[in-house]
Parts: sequence; structure tokens; C-alpha cells
Amino acid sequence: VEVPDFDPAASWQQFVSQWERQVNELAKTFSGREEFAGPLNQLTQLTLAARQSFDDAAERTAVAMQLPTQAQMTGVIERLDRIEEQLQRINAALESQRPTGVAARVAPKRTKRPPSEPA
Amino acid sequence: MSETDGIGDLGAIGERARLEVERAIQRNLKGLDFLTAPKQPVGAMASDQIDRSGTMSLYRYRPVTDEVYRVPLLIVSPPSNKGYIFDLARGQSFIEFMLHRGYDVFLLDWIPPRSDESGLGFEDYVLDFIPSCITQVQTLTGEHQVTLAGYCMGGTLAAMNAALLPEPIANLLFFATPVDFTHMQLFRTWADPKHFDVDRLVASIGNIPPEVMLGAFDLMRPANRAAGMLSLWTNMWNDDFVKSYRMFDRWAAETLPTPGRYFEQFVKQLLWDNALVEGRMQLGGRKIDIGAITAPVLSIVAQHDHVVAREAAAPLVERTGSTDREEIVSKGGHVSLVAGPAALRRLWPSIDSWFEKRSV
Repeated sequence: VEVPDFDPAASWQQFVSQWERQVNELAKTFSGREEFAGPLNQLTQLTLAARQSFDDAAERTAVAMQLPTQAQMTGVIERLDRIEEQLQRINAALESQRPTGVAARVAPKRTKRPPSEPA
Repeated sequence: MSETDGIGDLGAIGERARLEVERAIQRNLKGLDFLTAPKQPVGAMASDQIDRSGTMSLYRYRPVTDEVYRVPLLIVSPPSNKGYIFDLARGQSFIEFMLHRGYDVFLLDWIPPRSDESGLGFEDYVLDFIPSCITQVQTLTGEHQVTLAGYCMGGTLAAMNAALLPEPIANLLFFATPVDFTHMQLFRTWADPKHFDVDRLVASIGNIPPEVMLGAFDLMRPANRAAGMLSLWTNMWNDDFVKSYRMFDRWAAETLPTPGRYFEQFVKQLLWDNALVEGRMQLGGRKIDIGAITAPVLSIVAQHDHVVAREAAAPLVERTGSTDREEIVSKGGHVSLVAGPAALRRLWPSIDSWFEKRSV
């Protein structure tokens, strides 16, 4: 039995795409206006201020509970990051010395010609 | 209508109903899997990390052909995004495609900047990171010339590099690369100097968290997230759709913070002053003139790109000093140029055709 052409899922998908296009077009009209920029930037500043305030409160709570703060964790992560970086450099130096290292393994001939070129 | 037709129609409607019920069941079952699934794996091709220095990371992809073109290809990822967008999965990877076509591919990727890297600016990217990677590519391949490719702001940085240090650049490939920022209208409104205090922002938080830039994208396309979720639910029964959705979702969620100074220069010099295309931009005490770019240029723009309009990239083919330059307008959007399965069929073969004779 053949499935009829009417596909409710496809129609729904089409409706969603159309709605998305219309809302985005509308937003484009609004956000291109001068009077939109002021409140928008105030919102950005407010969001960042709220985030800063939340971070400060969370840090105070962490200190009170004798837990590491976000700043301390970031410090640890960054120190680990530097160690990882150093290990990678040592590894790269060792690899370059090994006969089966990166440099030895990846040595294709650099003679390829375009397939479109007459032989 | 005959009686037989009527029975046929009823049978067909029944079949459609059965199919929809089956999909509804699958949606619920797979929806649960979706919610509990770990991160979608990304990355199709084997690579080796050649160097890592702070936020910079250089990879070489292992060639898959016995012979490669003489000129290696170095791709510069945008500093605000992970480079695996070029290598999402098999059959959806620009890097996989280029490797199979015989290119020796390197990727300059970025790691989230540390707090002590908030002072990194354009000069570090253009005059230090990119040249350092070019030198390493030259050493590893034994070739002096390199094809430099860049996506979005990665392309902008590559263009600045090619204008200031053109000598080793054999060719340039730009994907959705903005250089004329008067056409980045929504970003300019978002960062309107009358209201946007970039100095205060950078001074107070150092590195700029991804939410700041993602907020700008959401304002430009407010319906995208909701529509994306609705499409996901509709197609939850389709494993390929869900896999692709999860890969793109992961990439978007892993947007990187950017160094404060880089962000400040982006806003002041590019969005406010449009200094690059108007010849007022200086790095390392030297003025950048995009007319000084003489290497062959291929610029790819997307027909439905809501981030970088075609006009924003136009000077790459209109104002560079190269006599060998071309623009390709591809169907699709900002991301599908470098990761869409459609690009594999149409766009990437055109890129290969363009570069094959310029890479020997």
C-alpha cells in the first residue's frame, strides 16, 4: 500500500521553518534600530553584573563551607594546563627523535599532479 | 471514484497512521536516550599535535594518500570556536575530503585562553601564532610555500597575515570571512559605541566569556534555538538527524572565551572604525593594506549567511592586489560551508578543482 502524499510531520516542519523565518525577520527589523541598542546594552551590562554578583556570593559561600572557590579551581586548572603543555612539548621532542615518530611516519611524496592535467 | 479506490485510500491512510504512531514511539524512546547520552563524539581523521603554546595548538592530519600536493594547507580556525568543525564526522569533514584529494592538511586550533592571556591581541595572532605555525609547517614539509585558509575571523586574521607577511603564502582560501565591517550591521548595533562600554567590560572580566558573543547571535536569530528544538523533536526518530544535531549543538556549546584585548580590538578597530578595509589598521607598527595581498584568492560566501553577509567579504576579491581571485556563492548558511553534508557534494569539489593546479 502506498503512503499518501500528505505528511503531517513534513507540514509541521514546514510550519516551524516558516515561523522561524518570520520571527528572525521581525527581530532583524527591530534590532537594526538605534533605539534598540541602548536597552540591549543595558541588558548585557545587567546580565554581566548579575553574573559577577552571583559569582561573588557563590565564592563567599564556598569559603564559609571550606570548599575551594571558583578562582582557586581556575588557578588549579590553569596550572594543570601549563603542566600538560610542558608534557606535550617533551612528548613532541621525544617523538621527533624516534624512528617511528611523527616526522618519520608522515612522509608522503609531494609529487601529486592534478587529475585534470594531461598525463 | 470506484469502490476499489475508496478501499485503497483507506489502506493508505491506515499506513500513514501506522507510520506516524511508530515514529511517535521512536521519538519517546530515543528522546530518553538523547537526554541521557554523553557528549557526541567528534573528529573523523587521525592527527598529531605538533605544537601547543598557551591558547595556540597546531595539528597535522595524517595523509591518507601515498602522494600529496607539494604545497601544504594550513587552516586557521576562528579564535572563538573549536576547530573540529572542519572534521566533525566521516562524510561530513572538510579535512577528510581534502586528505582524500591529496592535500597535506594542518590545523591551527585554539584552547580557551588562561586568565594571564587576556592581553593577547591581533598582533599576537597575526604576527606570532600564524607565522610560528607557518614556520613549523615549512620545517615539517620541507616546502617554503603554504596555502593559508581561514574561516570567519580565522580568515580575517589570515588576511591580515597575508597582507603583512605575503612572502610564503602560495594561495588563500577564505570561508565566510568578514573584512568590511560596515556590513556587519547587527553586530555594529549590538556594539554601538554610544552605549557599549567595551573598556569597562574588558577591565571588569578580562577574557570575554562565550555568553557575550552567543547573546549577540541569539539577538540576531531569536527563533533559532526554539525552532531547532522543535525540529529535533520532530526528527527524533531519525538517527542521522539526531547525530548531526548533537554534533552541531556540541560545537556551539563549546564556543570559546576570547582574550579581552582581542575582543577590544575587534570592537574598536573593526566594528567601530572599519579600520582594516579602510587602510587605517596597524599591527606591530605597520599599516595593513589588503591591496598588498598578491597570492591567488578564493573566497567562499554563503547565500543565507546571517553572520557574514556577502558584502562584508567582497573586498577580498575586489580590493586585494591579486590578479587571480574568485568568489563562490554557495547555498546554505554560515556553518554549512565548512561542515554541511551538502558542501561535500557541491562546494568542496569546486574548492579542490580550484586549488589542485595551484598546489603543485
